[in-house]
Amino acid sequence: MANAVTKLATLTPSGTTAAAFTSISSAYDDLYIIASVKTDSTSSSLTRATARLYYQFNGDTSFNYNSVNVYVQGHSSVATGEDYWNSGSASNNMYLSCAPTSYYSSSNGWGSFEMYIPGYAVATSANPEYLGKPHRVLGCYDFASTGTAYMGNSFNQMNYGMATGTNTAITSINFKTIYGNYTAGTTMTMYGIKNT
Amino acid sequence: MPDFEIIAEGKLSGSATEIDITSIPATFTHLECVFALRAATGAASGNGTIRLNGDSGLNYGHCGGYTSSGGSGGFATRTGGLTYFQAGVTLAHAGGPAGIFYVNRVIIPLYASTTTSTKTIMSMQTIGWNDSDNFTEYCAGFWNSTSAVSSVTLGNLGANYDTNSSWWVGGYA
Repeated sequence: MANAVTKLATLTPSGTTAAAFTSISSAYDDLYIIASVKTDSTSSSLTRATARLYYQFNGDTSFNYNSVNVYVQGHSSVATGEDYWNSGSASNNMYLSCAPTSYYSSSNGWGSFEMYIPGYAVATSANPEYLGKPHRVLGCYDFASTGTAYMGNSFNQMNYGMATGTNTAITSINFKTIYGNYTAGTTMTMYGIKNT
Repeated sequence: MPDFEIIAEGKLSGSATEIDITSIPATFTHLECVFALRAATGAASGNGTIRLNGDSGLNYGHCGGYTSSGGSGGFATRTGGLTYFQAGVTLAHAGGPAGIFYVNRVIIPLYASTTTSTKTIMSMQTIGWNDSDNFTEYCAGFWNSTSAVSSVTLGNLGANYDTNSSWWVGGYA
């Protein structure tokens, strides 16, 4: 059996606000990305807003994106979680809260995400199931370390995104921070998945 | 080395209090674990736990969201300062029909890093056997350690793992 998983690229951004997979081969059926992320911002408290990355396909900055997501956040001082279902509305990007700042700790408190994009290379309307490139992404982060008041403030988000204007193969994906730059140690790995 | 490889797999031939997956090499970048779990007959609890490298210190935290059948959903919040990661493993309810296992998928990015001081853990679980008994959960958490993950231990909170509970662990290059 041929290898079903092929590592395509690894990004290790540091001191920059952008990390982009470019020249993505169309030779596979699906794309899979696993990442571990942190930023160096110390000017903002850690919230789902400050911990956001946003991403765009093929450099498309028009209002061609929609997403719906749910998140839950655990606080050491709050007994119950919070949940939000956001109705999709046109946006010029999609976001994911998975990149904690260094507000509480420069070493502890990392985030991660995984993203799965089926049919990323389908470029015709003959496969309407892939129109808009619907995909799934799951991200999370946590605050600080043992012994601090912040331990346990972990957060996760599940996001079903759809780039409504996309009917072409995805050839690039750009992940950009909202606050600060990526810190050393940030790693994003892209894999191509063959179904046969 | 292939870009994805099964590191370990197994199936219980009898009930067990825990499942211990050891000698995980540090040669991969990311780790994925899939468990199909069921509580032993008569068990009172359906919850399991994950510990990494046998660490039973207060080095874990997690929170998660779940939704269940019947139109009612909810979210579970769990905090840090824990001695295990709980939400990543849930056993099939003991009252479920025979042969039903709870499917769990756990991702640990950069599991072998000795410089990243926190390992994040992402997990998803699902089970169902009819229109009114189904459940899905996703959760995230962390393990505070600069050690590479070399073992994954599934413990339990009152319920043994049943015969034929199974697992595999894979590594991504």
